[in-house]
Parts: sequence; C-alpha cells; structure tokens
Amino acid sequence: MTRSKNTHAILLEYLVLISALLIFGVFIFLYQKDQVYRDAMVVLLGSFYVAWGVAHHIRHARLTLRIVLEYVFVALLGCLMLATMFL
Amino acid sequence: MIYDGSMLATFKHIFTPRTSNNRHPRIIHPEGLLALSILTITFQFALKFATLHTPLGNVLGYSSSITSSKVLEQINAQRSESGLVPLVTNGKLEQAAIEKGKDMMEHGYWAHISPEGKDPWQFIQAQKYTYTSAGENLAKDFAETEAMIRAWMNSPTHRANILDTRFTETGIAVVDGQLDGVETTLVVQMFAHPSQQIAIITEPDIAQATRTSESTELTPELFLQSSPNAQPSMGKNLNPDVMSAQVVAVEDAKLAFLSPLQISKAVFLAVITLLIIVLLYDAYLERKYHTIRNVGKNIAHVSFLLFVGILIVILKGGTLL
Repeated sequence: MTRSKNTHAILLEYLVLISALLIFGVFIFLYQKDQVYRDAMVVLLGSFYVAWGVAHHIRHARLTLRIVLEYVFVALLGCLMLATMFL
Repeated sequence: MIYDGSMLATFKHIFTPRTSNNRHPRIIHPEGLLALSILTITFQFALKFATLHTPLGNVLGYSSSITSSKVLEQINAQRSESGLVPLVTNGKLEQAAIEKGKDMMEHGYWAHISPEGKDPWQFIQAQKYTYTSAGENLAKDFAETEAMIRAWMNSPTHRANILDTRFTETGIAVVDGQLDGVETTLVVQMFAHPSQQIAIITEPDIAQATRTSESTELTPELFLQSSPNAQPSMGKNLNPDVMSAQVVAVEDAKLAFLSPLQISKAVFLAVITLLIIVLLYDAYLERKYHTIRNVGKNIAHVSFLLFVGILIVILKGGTLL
C-alpha cells in the first residue's frame, strides 16, 4: 500500500468512526427517556468503539493486549458515565 | 527524568509523557483508565448514598419551573394543533392527581399502580368523579414544562392520552417533595370524560394507563349520545386550597439549587475535559519529538470522549411513566 493510499484509508476509517458516533448520538438522544433502549445503545456504542480500535490497529499498526485494553477502558469510562448519570 | 516520587514528579508522571511512564501519560494507560472508571462508579454510588442517607440529601434538590397552568396551556396547544377541543380543568380530577402524587411521595414508589395495588382510577373515584373513560400520564425530574411536554409527545402511549378525542377534562398536579430520599418534582395528569352514571370498572389497560369504563345501562349508541351531555366543570369547582398548595410546593422547589444529576454532569465533564487536554498535549509532543511508541490513537480517544461529553451536556433528566 502506498503512503497516499494508506492516508486515504486512515481518513476513511476516521470518517466511519465519526459518522457512527453521530448516528449513535442521534439514537441515544431521541430515545433518552427509554432507559432500556438508551442503555442498550450505550453498550453498542462502547462495543463499536473497541471494535473500531482493534480493526484500525490490525490494519495500520501493531495490535497488543495493552492497546485493546486501552480502547476497552476508554469505552468503559464513557459508557459508565452515560449509563450511570441518571442513577 | 526518572520518577523520584515528589509531588511535581508524580503530577508529571500522571499527566505528561515522560521516560518514567514510557512516553505515555499514566492516566491514559489501561491502568489509569481503569482507575478512573472505578472512581466514576464509586462516585455515582456515593452520591446516591449521600442523597438517600445523609443530610446532604436535603440540599441536593431538583429545581423545577413546571406549573400546572403551563402544562395545561401546552397540552391544549398540542390538542389545538391536532384540531381537538381543549381540555378543561376539573377540580376533582386535580385533587385526584394531587393525591396520586402525594401517595407516590409518601410510599416511595414511581408507578401507575402503588405497591398496595391501588390504581389511578381509584384516586379518581375517591373524589366522587364518575367517568366514561380516563387516563393518566406521569413524569418526574423534568426542570421545564417544554421538555416534559416534548417527551410526552414523543412517547406513543402518552401522546395517545394527550390527543385522545374522548377526553374532555383534566386534572394536573405538580408535586414537589422527596422520592426515595431525593428532592424531585412529580407531574401527574389525569384525563377523563365525565359520566352522568355510575361507571362499572372493567379490566384496566395499565400499560397505557388509559381505561374506558363501561356502563351496563348504556348501549354503545347511548354512550355516544350521553357524552356531549356530560357537562364539564370549566374549572369553576377548582378548590382554592389545592391551588395554594401547589403554589407553596413550587415556591419550595425554588429553594433547591443543585440536583444530583447536575453534580454528576459537572464531575463527568471535568474528567472528560482533563482527559482530552492530556490526550491533545500528548499528541502534540508525540508529533513534535517524533516519538515512536505503540499505543492507542489519541485522536480517536478525543473524538469518542468529546462525543460522550456532548451527550452528557444535551441529555436531560426526567422519566416518563
């Protein structure tokens, strides 16, 4: 893969990430009064973020357990905040 | 620089990339992020405990600007947009709504049916109000009338009650008090169409909190004919004591200045802001010094955390039933 193709692929992956975050955001906002639905969307959001991170590192960098854990705990922190805010 | 244990060194070790943390701030290592996650959940449960079991709960109130007149005005605006006649206030329904709100506060529940099995219709019947159809909408923890009405209109079952052509009268109560030890505002709205005859209760559809009673003395045709003859009270029998009780409740609500939700939002946003600053600073130094390391992508983390922060800001408290 050439440098420009690689850059293009990385930009595309970030575009996918941002688009998915926006879509999740719209759904969470629209169904914020439905706790079960909201929590389910939050879990899906966290799972998607970890999957995106793993896929990105497999394609463009080296994947290690610590990197997977880094994505898992960033996702966990964000999801815990969204899920427990209305306790 | 070697981590020497001093306060400044500890600060740098946690928040800036250095040799002591493998050129990656300790707070964004998996261990640091796990610690933050544990602190987050601990903080939330501590806050919940404090509001329930300590004097702190008395000052962690929920400030609401909702009044029954605003709710009625906006409900009728929604009905007018749909070409329906506006609802008129009935004092008995209003008293039933107040009693329902007080009952939830006193018995610590949040449901259409009380733990003792008391359903909404019993509160209406206790006021000697007979009806051909009735419904109930509940909401709690909303700060503004507009947000609450919007939430009701976005919920199919609540919307159905608001735009139900059968209902002609309503009673709305805005009840401030403590539910499970937390200062909150409950809104109870009863809908009904009055009947001249004593209604016989059928199995209520509690899921939608709407019921239609049937009279054995009325054929469907007679039922339809009797509806226009049932004269609504036009609010003339509104109990002055009820009105003043609501005014006092709203005044009390203004004393409350900070809700647990607001505290949670502030703390979470502070943590997210701190992490974003650390991540951006780390990314800046990585680019500046061309540091080679194998870690997660800071820009991705910043995007995710920024997105979570925006959601924390725009998501409102408040639940419907």
